[in-house]
Amino acid sequence: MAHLQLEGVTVEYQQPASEGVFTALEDISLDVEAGEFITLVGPSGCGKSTLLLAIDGLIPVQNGKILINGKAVDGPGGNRAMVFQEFGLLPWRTVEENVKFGMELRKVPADFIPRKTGQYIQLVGLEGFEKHYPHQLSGGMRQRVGIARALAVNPEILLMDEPFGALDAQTREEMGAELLRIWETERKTILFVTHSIEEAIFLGQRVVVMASSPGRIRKVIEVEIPYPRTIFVLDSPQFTSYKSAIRKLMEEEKKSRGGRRES
Amino acid sequence: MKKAKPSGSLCTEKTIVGSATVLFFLILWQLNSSARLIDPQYISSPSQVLMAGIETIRSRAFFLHWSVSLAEFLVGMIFAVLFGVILGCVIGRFKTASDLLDPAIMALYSMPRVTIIPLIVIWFGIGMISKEVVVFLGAVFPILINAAAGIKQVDPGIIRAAKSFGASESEIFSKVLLPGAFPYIIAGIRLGIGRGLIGFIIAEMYAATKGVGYALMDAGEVMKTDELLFYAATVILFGYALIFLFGRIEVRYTKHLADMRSLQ
Repeated sequence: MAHLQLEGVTVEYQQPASEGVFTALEDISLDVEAGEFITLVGPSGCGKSTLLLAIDGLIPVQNGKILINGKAVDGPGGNRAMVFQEFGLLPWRTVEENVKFGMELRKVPADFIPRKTGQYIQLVGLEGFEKHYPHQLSGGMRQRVGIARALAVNPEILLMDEPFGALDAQTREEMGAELLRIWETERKTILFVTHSIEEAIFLGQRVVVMASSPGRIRKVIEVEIPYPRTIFVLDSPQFTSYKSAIRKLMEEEKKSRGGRRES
Repeated sequence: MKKAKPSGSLCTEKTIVGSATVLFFLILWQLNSSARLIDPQYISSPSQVLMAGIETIRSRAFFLHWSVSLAEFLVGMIFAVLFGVILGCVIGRFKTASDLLDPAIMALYSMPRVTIIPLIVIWFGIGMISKEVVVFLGAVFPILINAAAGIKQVDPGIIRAAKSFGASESEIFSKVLLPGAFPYIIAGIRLGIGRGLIGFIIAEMYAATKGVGYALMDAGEVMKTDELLFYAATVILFGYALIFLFGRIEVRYTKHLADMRSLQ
């Protein structure tokens, strides 16, 4: 049995202004094995973030099932943790206190909290910044806090919603390499949403290419580049061929959609 | 090198210059009583005010009036803070509550309180309760409105993150909304103090047998300008001390929040 199973997941929003319903996701099916690193890529509006929120249990599913270890998802749970694009840190708490935040809410026994806080601050490379406030940190460092906070609750599945989207290109590459290092030590199942094709190929074992209106899976591509991957992978011909394959898929999709709109 | 904080020490250049202005004014005022440019019966003089002050303190009238006023002020303020913070949080959190109550609150807030003091006296009598109500009505609105605004400005992304970690509604409130709104609530209380202060003075002037506002009116009616000015000075001192204290609290607890907006 797969770790995470999506079976015909459909998410609809009631549109307040118009009469109709908006289908954000239609009939999404995907099996994810334990410890797998999956990236989801697609144009904005393809529902990739919505899918992540649904898996986290923050939004309800109208049709289909989301199963984790065979059990249906019903609201947020301790086996998942999320990392947000806008970090979602508490500005009035220090780095240390922000890492503790998730554990406090997940009711981690108080005796464990200080040790785990130190451990994960070290893992993400923030030693020496324990007493800093978020506004005193760079974007990359803030997201390290977000990652430490999520990992500290010891989730089975890490959901990452464009976590490096707010960072500059160089920091983004650095953070990607860091994330692979962390994944290799922690071996979590990771679902990583991005709109960068390069980031998706660089990180994922499989890239889920999504299409919009309605949001659906266009194709799932296996990335057969061995780990550990370093940033030099980005220049390899293998990497480039994956990149052009995915770009082609997305272009095709854009054209067929454009045609439909005109008809 | 350390930067000199404006509110940090009592011996900064700013406080010295500021005090010099006050001192200069007091000297001019004192000189007037010998020069007699204005009849001292109307404006008294610092030395006379001081003498009248010593006398009122000796006769214990001073403590009697101030203890009554202080109690009225404290009771009114405590209720205003409790009610204002709680209702403000409800309004800030729930859109329905906000839609239902906002217009009524804004109408009551913009209404000058003096207009209903006669009514309050009819309802609550001329004792302390009517003054407490006036203090409450003055202070509650800025506190309430600030608390609601503080809750509303909390980044929804933080609330979503808290929910993702399984936060209950009460945890969202205690760990996210309340600390997020804290600087706004403190600012609201500081505004409320000013309005509460005016509240008990005016209410005591209208109908009372004790209290600082009553003492002011009483001294005025018999042309005791020195005693009147002494009471006025103590009111000014009291208000200034409170606002100063709360300013310090605000700086102390919100210094890390100054850059909050840059994070959002």
